[in-house]
Amino acid sequence: HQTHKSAPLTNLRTMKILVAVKRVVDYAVKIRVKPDKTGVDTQNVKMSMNPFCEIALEEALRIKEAGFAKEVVAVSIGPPQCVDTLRTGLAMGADRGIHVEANSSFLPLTIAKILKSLADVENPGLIFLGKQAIDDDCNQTGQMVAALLGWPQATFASKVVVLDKDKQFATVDREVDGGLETLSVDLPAVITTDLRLNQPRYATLPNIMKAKSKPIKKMTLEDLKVDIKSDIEIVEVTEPKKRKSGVIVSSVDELIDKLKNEAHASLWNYYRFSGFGVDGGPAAKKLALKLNLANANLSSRLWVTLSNIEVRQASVTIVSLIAIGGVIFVIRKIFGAYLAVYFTIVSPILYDIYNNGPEDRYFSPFWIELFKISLQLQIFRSYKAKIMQSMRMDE
Amino acid sequence: MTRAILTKKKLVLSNAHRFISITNLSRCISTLILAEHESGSIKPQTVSTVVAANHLGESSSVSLLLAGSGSSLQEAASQAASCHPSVSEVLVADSDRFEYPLAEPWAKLVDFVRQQRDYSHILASSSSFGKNILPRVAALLDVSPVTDVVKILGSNEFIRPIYAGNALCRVRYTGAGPCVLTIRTTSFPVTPITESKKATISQIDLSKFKEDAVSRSRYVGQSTQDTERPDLGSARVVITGGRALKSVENFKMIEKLAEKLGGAVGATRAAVDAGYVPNDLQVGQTGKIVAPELYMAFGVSGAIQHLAGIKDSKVIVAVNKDADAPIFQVADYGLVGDLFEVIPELLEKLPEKK
Repeated sequence: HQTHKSAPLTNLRTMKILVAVKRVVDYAVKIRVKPDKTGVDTQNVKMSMNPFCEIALEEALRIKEAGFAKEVVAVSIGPPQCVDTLRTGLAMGADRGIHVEANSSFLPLTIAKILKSLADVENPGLIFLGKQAIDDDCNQTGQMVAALLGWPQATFASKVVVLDKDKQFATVDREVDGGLETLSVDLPAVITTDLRLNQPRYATLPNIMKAKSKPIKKMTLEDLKVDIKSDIEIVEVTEPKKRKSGVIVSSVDELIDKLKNEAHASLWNYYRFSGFGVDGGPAAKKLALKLNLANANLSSRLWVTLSNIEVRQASVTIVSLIAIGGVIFVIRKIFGAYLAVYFTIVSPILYDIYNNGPEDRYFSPFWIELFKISLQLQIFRSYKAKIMQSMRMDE
Repeated sequence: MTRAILTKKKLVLSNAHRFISITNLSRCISTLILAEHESGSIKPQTVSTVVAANHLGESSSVSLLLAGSGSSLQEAASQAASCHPSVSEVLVADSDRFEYPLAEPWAKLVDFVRQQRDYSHILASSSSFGKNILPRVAALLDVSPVTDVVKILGSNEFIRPIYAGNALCRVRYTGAGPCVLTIRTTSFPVTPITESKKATISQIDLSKFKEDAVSRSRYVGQSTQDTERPDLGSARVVITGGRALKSVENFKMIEKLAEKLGGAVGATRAAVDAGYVPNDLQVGQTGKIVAPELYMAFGVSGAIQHLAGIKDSKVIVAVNKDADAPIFQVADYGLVGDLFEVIPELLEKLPEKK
């Protein structure tokens, strides 16, 4: 590819600003997916200028009104109805418009190529675009235009300050994941606008009337010598899975109760065990400590070292073995007994018996736990025995 | 007899045809991932992107590209080498040019690396870093990128959300160049890693790397919040406040609740616009996309653009004075009430986190 080398600007006051505006479904409309899954239903639906494009145009107008630019040119690429969007832009204050006739299914790369060709013709000092269109949510075009022109880019701008005619650069605050980042970009540059950059003006009636006489130039792809790039095809458009409808609770108590009992089980387990996380979470970390301690004790007293135990596997194994052990104990006493022995070895580790004496707070809870569980298992066994008895009596 | 021979020939030919198409399907996938790192370690978004790369197909090799300068870069590189078993190599570009993630030198770097080895896929996470740089890379390579991918159906087929997530678009990349993608990391959670494998680390020779000296951008500064709160994008619990909180002071209630539940704080666009919280807490179509286990929204009306950021949450709880607020249509549990009464009550009644 060739990098575009633009002539250095001699006077900022003659600078042109190119603003790309897109006609999209209005942001407040609740869209519907077509039953044949080919796309979203845009027939008889309110269309407006993309909100981010409005912000872009507003910023360009403010820079011109501050005396740093001479002309604001609005561009729209698409079907004939784009002229309405351009008229709105002209009513806001743009000096002239350019409409590039095109199919509305053009990919951002083709749009970027069209804008590049226009920039080659118009030689603007700044190109403003909205950071993304609210229909396809692509967030690509501005960056691609900058790449094709070889210009620096400042995306997601929340503040733009163009300095005076000697210093040909702009200082831009960008909204990034961590907060705000400030860049200074040499002009000519491409800037994409984010929500908080400005509050776009309303077109006043006198301006709407004036806009009718402002020129809108029509151009085609042939005029701009752009090849259509179609390396992405839309297979289908579907609706996302609908959430199950929820319930209205009447009090905070009810809310907490529902969250505890109904909501996704892992949520409250998370609360208790703080989740497993990537490394096993705090519960597993504690277990790891205890395992290591027990390991150390064993090795020092018995000259035996257990190999490196993978903590998460260990905790999962322990839990599942307890479960299986309980089931088997109910069905077949002997097998259950073996697993109960395993359990007696493991629980001390969990409750730090090796290291704590009777005065420590975990000591008695451990024995109580053990007693409780064995009691429960005995109860289950007796129920099972009763059922077996009644079955035998029926024969 | 002749008929038998003829049918046999046909069978052989059809089998051969099938064999050829199978080899086409399993063409080698080699992925280059633009890694993000901070203070000597890889960001979790990058690990999610590695997970996503695994969905592209079998026999894929994953290379992580790290750029930056100094010791924190080398530290991050060695951490990256063992961040996920799928990573086969880590490429390190150490130069002052890459001290800050500026799109222009980074995009050129990706092109530079790609020229030395053919990659079938180039990925980054859909963070402000990835969204800023990857489309520029795609244009330099003259390919159309697919941004904000939520599902990978194959090496060339993806699903991405459109219209603020109210529709899902399934696309197929049919170009000849590398497939350039940005991944929505909430859709590719990282599962705990059982095996650890150390990838090879190689320093990229930047002697032939030329950058455009004429028109460039320069890093001036940044203002970030240094908090100990969990990262909004990966938190398991998110508590969000809307404009109904009316002041910065009142937002402290949200922070207290988040602290109690061990969660992150989020905000609607209205709350950020009004200045109650900084912009990096904004959740929504053009803010952060979150997918926590529990999402609690206080004083949030539920505009389409906000809902776009929370749709993948497991449980949504909404508290709002207005019973007709749209948020109640997506909430699993809704409470119609005054948040200034509900939040203190919750703070009192919720059990202490052990």
